[in-house]
Amino acid sequence: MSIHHHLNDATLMAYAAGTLSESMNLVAATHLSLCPVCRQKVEQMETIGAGSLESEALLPVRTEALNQVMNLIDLEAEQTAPEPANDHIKSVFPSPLSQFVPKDYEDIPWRSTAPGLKSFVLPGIQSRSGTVRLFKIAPGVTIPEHGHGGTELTLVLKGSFSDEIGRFKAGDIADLDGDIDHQPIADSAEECICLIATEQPLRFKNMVPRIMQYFVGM
Amino acid sequence: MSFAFYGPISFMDQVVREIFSAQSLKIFYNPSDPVLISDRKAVKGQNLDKPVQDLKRQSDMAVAVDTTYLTELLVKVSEERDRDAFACLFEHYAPRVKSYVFRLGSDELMSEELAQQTMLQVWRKAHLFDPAKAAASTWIFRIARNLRLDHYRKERHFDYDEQDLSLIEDDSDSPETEMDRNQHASIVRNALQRLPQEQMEIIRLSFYEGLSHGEISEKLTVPLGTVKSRMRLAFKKIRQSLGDAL
Repeated sequence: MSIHHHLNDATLMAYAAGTLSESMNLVAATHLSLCPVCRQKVEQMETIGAGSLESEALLPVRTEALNQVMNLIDLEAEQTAPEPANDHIKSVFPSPLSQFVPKDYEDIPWRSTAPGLKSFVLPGIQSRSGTVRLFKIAPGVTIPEHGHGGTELTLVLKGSFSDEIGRFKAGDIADLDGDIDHQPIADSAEECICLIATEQPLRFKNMVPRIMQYFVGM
Repeated sequence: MSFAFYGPISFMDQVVREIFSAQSLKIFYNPSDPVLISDRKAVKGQNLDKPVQDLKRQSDMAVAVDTTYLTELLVKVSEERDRDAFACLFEHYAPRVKSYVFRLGSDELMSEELAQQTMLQVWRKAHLFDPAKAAASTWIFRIARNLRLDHYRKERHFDYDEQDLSLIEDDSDSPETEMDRNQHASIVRNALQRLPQEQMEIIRLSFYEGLSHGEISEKLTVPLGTVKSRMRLAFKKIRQSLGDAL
């Protein structure tokens, strides 16, 4: 499996600087877990942040600051660290994502959203703007053409989809600006499962999906 | 034990912040580097390019040596649990992390608390540090950034895991991976100094003031697309300079 669609450099810069919203951050981190190309870029970008640490303008810390930390370290050394609770079933999901979803696709409490389309909103993402959800799209099903209020990140975890931009397979990410309309279709024999972060609700072009959106809260 | 006390941002904080942000404007210019952007034209006119470049190279080397030394300290903490090395790192980085957090909008108490927390994490996670993958400053920046986001902004930052699904092969065999990470850091810093003003500005707002691309777009009253394309251009130049250095 090799990745052909990557995160936009501007999105990676925001990830490195720490200015992405929590929802975008989670999807970006999940792609980064899978993509050595983007990882290498982020490491270079984080050097910019490191430069900000090495700046000359400094606020001194209190003289006792070091001692306080040293005391904590001593205290921790005395206590035997409790073994982390290790449940032995390994999640099939990349680690940033695994804390928000069950361990396997089968165990996800999918909700029917539209014919051929199921979704699951990740609980516990506290973002003030946007949500993260998993979509399960049956083979051959098309998501109605839509644009986005803000940026949308769509990461394919399983299967594949095609849209006006290209074909997206497992590990690929579509990093779309608000001004792009697209109409993805699940184009392989297996269902397509994607992880999607949106900054703002999708904007459907036609009235019918818009009404549907009202009812299903998409 | 906790050193937490999150008071409201005091008047003094505001005063310090103003003085501080005036100083932080100089951040991209290495103070030991005699060539500030505004001086460049004058210098060129006087045909002083060569000695100036030599001076610059010296200061680059000083930065690189310094960075190497700090990375060695972190390796000592990592491999030997060396407390003296940790104390040296603390002395160097605690004020820097405090300044970073403060500059991004926390009050002074919170900034110091997060600096302490960051250094505590440095101690706890030192065994994960790999000098082949990052300079100490980059590694510590990552910890500070994540802690700040968790504690202050209440928006978490998720770390990726390189061990994940190693089925995907690494087709990024760029020679850059072989470069010493400390050298890498000083090259990036120099590349930043050569960026056009408009690109430097958005990098400063993003990395030094913690503004999102949307916020930068509002602040500078330029379209979001422009902010993003300047980001991309800036990074392209930084990457190029890493390539050139080989």
